[in-house]
Amino acid sequence: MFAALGDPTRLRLVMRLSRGEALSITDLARGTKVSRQAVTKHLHVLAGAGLAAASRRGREQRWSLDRRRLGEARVFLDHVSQQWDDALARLKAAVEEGER
Amino acid sequence: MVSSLHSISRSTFIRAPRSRVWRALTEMGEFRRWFSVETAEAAFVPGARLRGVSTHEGPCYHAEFFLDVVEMVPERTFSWRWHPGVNLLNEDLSEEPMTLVTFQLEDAEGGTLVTVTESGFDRLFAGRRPRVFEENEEGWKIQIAALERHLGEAA
Repeated sequence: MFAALGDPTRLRLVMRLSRGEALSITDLARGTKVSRQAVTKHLHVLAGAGLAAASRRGREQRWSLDRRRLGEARVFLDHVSQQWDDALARLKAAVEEGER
Repeated sequence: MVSSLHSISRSTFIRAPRSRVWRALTEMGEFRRWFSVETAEAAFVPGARLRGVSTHEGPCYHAEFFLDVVEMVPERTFSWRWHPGVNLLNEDLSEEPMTLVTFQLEDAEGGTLVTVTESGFDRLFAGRRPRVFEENEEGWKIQIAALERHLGEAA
């Protein structure tokens, strides 16, 4: 899941999809230097990590995000970051109090 | 700062020389106090596993964890591998990849800059998720704001 997000193109796709509207591959490639083929490849990586899913509307496939999964990845990393902030604050206090 | 979505890096400045910070990091008696943990082992040994029990007040109290010491370069680098987060449900994590935690000490004016980096989240099983959190709309907005910041930094 985290590896799936560790790529600038995929992060941009996630941002484009984050407004909630389901978009086609043509929509997602528009205005970028990324080919439709590359967009398709990246969407499949996101789908493999459970972060995005495709649905059909008539002839066209449309993609949307699984917000729950993406939120979990961020919440988990934020939680780990907070634990390190707390641990470093305790280390700092332990050392500096002893110096006085 | 969250430097990417698969590794975390945090720093703090400590008004003490590197030798003093190194002792606090690696001498077991001092480590137990600031890391809020009980251990049976008397010292950190590269290649050895250490079992800890959290003495931190709150939901982690008495949670057990294991830490495999990787590298100790005196007054410079101290690293270990472990399973991140708190294993509140005592799940069997033996098959799960570990993350690498690295402390780095650098001289800074009037003291020492300590940076801790945790990496390898990308190798975690996609199935392991923090059950302690409930997703909500506010949480999602915060995630998107964080993603936007991340993109801003990458640009």
